[in-house]
Amino acid sequence: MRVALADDSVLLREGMARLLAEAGFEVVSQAGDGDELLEQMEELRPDVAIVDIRMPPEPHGGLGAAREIRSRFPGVGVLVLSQYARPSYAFELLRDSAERTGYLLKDRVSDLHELVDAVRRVGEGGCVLDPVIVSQLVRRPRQGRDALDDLSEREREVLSLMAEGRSNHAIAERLVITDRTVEKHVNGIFEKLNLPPSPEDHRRVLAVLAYLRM
Amino acid sequence: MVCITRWAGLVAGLAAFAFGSALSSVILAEKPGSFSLPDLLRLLGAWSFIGSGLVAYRRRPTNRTGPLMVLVGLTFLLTGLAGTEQPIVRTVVALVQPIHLAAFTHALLAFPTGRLDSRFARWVVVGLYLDLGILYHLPLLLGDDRIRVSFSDAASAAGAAILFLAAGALLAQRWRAGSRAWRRGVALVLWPGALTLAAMAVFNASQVVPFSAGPAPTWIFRIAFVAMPFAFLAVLLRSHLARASVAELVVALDESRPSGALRDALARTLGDPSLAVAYWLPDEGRYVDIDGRTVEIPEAGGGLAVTTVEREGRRVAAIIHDETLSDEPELIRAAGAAAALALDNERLQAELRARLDELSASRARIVRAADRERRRIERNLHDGTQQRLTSIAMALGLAESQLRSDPEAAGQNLRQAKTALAAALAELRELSQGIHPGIVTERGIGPALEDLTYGSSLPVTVSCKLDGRPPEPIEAAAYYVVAEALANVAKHAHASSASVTLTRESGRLVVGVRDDGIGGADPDRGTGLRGLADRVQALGGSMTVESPRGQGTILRAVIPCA
Repeated sequence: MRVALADDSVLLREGMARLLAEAGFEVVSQAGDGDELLEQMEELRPDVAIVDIRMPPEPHGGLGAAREIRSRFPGVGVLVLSQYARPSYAFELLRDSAERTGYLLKDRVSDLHELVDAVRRVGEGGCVLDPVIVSQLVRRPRQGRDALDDLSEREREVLSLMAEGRSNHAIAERLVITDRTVEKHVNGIFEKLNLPPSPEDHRRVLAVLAYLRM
Repeated sequence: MVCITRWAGLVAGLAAFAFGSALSSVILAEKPGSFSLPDLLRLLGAWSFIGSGLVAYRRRPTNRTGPLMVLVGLTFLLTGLAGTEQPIVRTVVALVQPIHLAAFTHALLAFPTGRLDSRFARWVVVGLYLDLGILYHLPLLLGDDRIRVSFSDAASAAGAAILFLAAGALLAQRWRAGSRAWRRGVALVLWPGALTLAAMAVFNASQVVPFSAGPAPTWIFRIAFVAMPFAFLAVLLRSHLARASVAELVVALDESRPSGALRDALARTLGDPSLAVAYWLPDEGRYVDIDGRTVEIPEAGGGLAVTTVEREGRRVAAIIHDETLSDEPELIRAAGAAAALALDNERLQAELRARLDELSASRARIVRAADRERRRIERNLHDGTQQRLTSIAMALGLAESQLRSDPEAAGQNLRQAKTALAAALAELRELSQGIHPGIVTERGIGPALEDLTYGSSLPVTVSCKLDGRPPEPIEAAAYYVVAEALANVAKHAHASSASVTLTRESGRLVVGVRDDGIGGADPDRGTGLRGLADRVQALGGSMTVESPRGQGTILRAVIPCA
């Protein structure tokens, strides 16, 4: 898988390039700001661009570049790395589509396995949302009667994993249950929250997020 | 204080009345058959002084003319007992009765304020008291030496003549110096007074220089003593005088004045030395003195009264004065109206000073808050992140040395280092968030407030209705206001939910944070809200907190935002 890197910190960029190379990715370019990244995009057409959310040009730097890539190069996956867990950034990024898109806390680079998993999922067309953001959304206090209270403990776990962008199969592996059971839970959740069923994982993410944002 | 003097005054007045009545009955009893016209005039004159004096004192307690008139009446009454056969009474009467002439002159010269306003006048009055109180009685001590006695008599009479003449001259001089309004006010007393003084001077002169003055001076004196008290009273109670002094106030206001002179001029005009002026600050809803310090307006009663001064329908100032002045509302109102413009000008000065005080206080608070914040950051960096990084360095060093000898243990240490690093990163993230929430700058106030609600421990709804982004300092201030307010709600309000509204109303950004908690929040307590108010005020805005007990809290910040 071909990867382009953009971060204004050379130290971090180099370190990440080494990590990704170690994990078997081909790092095709490194950029220090959003404009440079977009230029490289034109000729290199990587599978995934990993973009630091806070970098020049100010003020929209990384987020602006990410949205630009989403609209101009729909085939390229974009994984945004952020120092802070900001739901509003994630919503901005996922405004139109969750396909080939990810939002991850920068801390995750310390866990090679998680980073590699995220890059791969985005590169394969999926959606990745950092668990910290998802837990903020799920735990957020709500006014009045909350349909989330009707979910069982297991269903809440499944809901969180769905919001992180994971497939049924991945959820089953994570919770050590069968795919069938996951499917049953998913149907139960959609029914209780009164959500329209969405077959694709990335559409499902948007539906769940829209619910959680309310 | 005022109460005590009032009671003392009442008691003294009653005593004077009782004493006068007793004297009168003695006089009437002494002369059952031979009651002459002069005797009747004396009784009438004495009582018109006592009565008018008591009325004057009752209506103008701060004016000494009333007590002086009572003194004149009582001493004058004593002259009726001069022919008594009881030796002790006769001696006392003889000693005290001449005083009535000195007291009469005193009252005239001190008119209408009851105070002698020049050193010369004081000398004349003291001279008369000495002459009539002591020199007059010298013959009693001198015994039978005829030459000495007649010389002493002559000296006393001559002195009295000169002093009466001087007093008359003083009256004439004051007439000339007085304004037209003042002259109109006091004419009724001054002219007859001067005539009486002249008659007394002539009478005394006729005792020294051998010429006959005839009965005229004596009759002038007798009639004057009956009529003058009413003139005194009439003038004292008439508002001409008040208008005259208000006219003088207007003249005084015309001149350039140092600060505080306005209060002095008002105090003079209203005859209340303890008078105080408080200036109204409409924006802050409080009164301040000329130096901008807060003034508490006294409650009604307690000897003080308050008259509000308005100019063009706006409250400008309050005059805090003696309660007795409330008998003359027109006078105070006239003085207030005359001084309204000057008071309004001084009000602006006072407002400026109050603002400067507030400004330096808020500057000091901002500096202190910045220092406190730096200390907090330093402590967090030192206690948390630095310690953690040190432990990571140690774990890595250990792992390096174990790499060959014990790869298992080295891996263990590396994992520990990684866990500690994750924690250090989390701490740093939290710390830098606290220093400045970058999201406000990057994404604007709306998304920043939305993110605040995700971290809140209670349901918060945000309604942000802005077209376009306000300038950065205003966005930051609004963000801090909401963040601090929500933190307070979570900590103290016991609320079940909160709502945040942001609107732009006629060039102002209005931030509202409302909760349904227990209320009773005190904006002056704690540094958090105070610091926010300073931040908002630094942008020319204002912040209010409404927190009735049991009815939740509404915090509202209004920031100019063109």
